[in-house]
Amino acid sequence: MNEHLSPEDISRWFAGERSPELQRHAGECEACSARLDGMESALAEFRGSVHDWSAAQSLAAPRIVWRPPVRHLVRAWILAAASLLILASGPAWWHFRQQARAAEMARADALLQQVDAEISRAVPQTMEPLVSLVTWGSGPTEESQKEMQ
Amino acid sequence: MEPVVTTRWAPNAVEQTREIEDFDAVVRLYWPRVFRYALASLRDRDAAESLAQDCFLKAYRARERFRGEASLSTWLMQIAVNLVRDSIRNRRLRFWNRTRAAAPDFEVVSQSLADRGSSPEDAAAAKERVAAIWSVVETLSERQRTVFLLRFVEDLDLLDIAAVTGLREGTVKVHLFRALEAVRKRMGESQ
Repeated sequence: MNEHLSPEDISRWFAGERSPELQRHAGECEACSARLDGMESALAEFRGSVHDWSAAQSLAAPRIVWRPPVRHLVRAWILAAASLLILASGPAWWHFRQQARAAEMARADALLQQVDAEISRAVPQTMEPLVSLVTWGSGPTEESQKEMQ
Repeated sequence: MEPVVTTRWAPNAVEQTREIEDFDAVVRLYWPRVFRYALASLRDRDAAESLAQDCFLKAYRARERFRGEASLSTWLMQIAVNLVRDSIRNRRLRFWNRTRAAAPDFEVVSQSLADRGSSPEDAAAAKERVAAIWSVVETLSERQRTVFLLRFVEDLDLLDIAAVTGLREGTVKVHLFRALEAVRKRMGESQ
């Protein structure tokens, strides 16, 4: 390769495409070598500028923040306490619920007994004394038949 | 002095997974690189710091899943690159205009070059070249800028860039070539 490196060859060189021909020419041709050096030093200056700038911007030691933030820890503790509370109160709640159910059943039984007692009466309680005085029914009773005879 | 951070593929997965157990040391070692990449991409100190924190927090939460298949540095940079991409998209590309004022202080750049023994003329020329490259970086597409910064700021090789970005090596080369073409043309104009 006798021709000088084209501008695209320079870019290709720094993009990592360095064919043996390019390398041979760059090693032999002072002009092309100087062009490559110029580009390389510009890129190195750019690199140095960013490193200097970054170092100047981060003079303070980085805060170690990789630990979970405090609010996350607090939230985790609250969740854990709530879970524990729910687990612990489960049996107590179940017991309370059973008691309430038993009381409800007892009330229902009492009501049913009261209803049974009410419907087992032929007449209301206040009228019961009259039942002995009054005869109920459509036909004559034994006593009235005797009187008629 | 900043510790040397290697980026090659992990030779020993066990060593890699052991390294992540001391997360304090991981943060100390890799913070500068992650922060620098975020700063160069976002050009906003607060945003870069916040992003670097998010990066390490994500890594900490996902550390159990780190198998050491890639180097720790590559894994962290993968997270950082994704976070930068999300951050840029969330800002709907307004970030570049908003943070224009946060570009590197080129006086500081030329001063640091002068401190390294360059003559005032050389330092001034270098300052112009750096400013020219920065002005090109502003105009690159998101992928071109990512690849360019990883190659020429973080000094990652093509395989590492492919691993970090999830692109094929050939695609990385294409993006890098286009970015370099833009830089070269701009440099030619400025000289």
